[in-house]
Amino acid sequence: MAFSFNTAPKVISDKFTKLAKEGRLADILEAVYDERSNNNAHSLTGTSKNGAIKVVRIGSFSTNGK
Amino acid sequence: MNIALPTLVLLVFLVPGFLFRRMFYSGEFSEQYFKENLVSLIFPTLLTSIIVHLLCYIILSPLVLNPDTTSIGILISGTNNSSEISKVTQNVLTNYKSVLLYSVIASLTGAFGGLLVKIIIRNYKLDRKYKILRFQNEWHYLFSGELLDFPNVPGRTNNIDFVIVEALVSSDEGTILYSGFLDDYILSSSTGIDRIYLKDVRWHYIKDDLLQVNASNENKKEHQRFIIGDFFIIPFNRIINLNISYYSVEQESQSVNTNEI
Repeated sequence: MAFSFNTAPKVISDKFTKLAKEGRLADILEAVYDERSNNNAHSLTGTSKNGAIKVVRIGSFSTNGK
Repeated sequence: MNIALPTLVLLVFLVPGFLFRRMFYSGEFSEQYFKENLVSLIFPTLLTSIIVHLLCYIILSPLVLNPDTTSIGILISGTNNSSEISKVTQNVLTNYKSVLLYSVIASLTGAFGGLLVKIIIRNYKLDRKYKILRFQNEWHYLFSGELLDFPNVPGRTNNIDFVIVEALVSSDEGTILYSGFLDDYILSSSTGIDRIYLKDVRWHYIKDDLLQVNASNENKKEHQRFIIGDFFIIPFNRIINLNISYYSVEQESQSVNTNEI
């Protein structure tokens, strides 16, 4: 375990930031919407159209805003 | 009975406890510190103050400093005996350097203690394992996906690379669904969260979804619209519902290379 003085919860990983800087955000979005468009509830993966990016949905929660 | 003097002494006595709690609820968790009422603030502060003073007393007594507990007791008791009070006051004034040094050491111990306890709890993920150590602002756990590490919740936070938020927002023209990458969020002391920052946002009216469902396949068309800009900020009071999804991402070319190696 890496000890850190920064205790703030992270919402974006370094890997994602690196990919975003490389201009792969559009590919990631494509992969996400591919995962979303799969009507099969058990399919938690999506791939970008060029096949370069694969995303896996780890979890999902819904809440009301109040 | 003299009330002002014991109150003053009590306040000075509570300073390490206040600092402990202020540092424990610092940074991202500071909102919890300000949210508390007076009763829930005083009791834990008193408890932590006692612990800090005990610790300082045990450590500092054998050293140069030797806190005069009798004098402290007389000051807190609120006695009317003027000779005792003047004796204690004289004692404090004579040893003002030691009193000041003790106060500074106790305050610093409280402050660093609070920070250290918080760092240990967060680094060892004790707040995720044990409910009693959990910070009250649940939005941190929700938005970061740390709640996946809670007992009996499947998944692991370590795998999360990004978070997609879908926010149902009311408007005069109808309900709108915004969807994008979660970039940041700002807390509020009253509602828990004030606003959320999204990136690469798509949006559409919910009523368009119904039209799409009723339309035949040939007539279906893309009704989602993009918002151009770096950040899209949604005030939390306009949000009706939130759907939060956690994703891991893999670059296929990299994984192929790894397999080849």
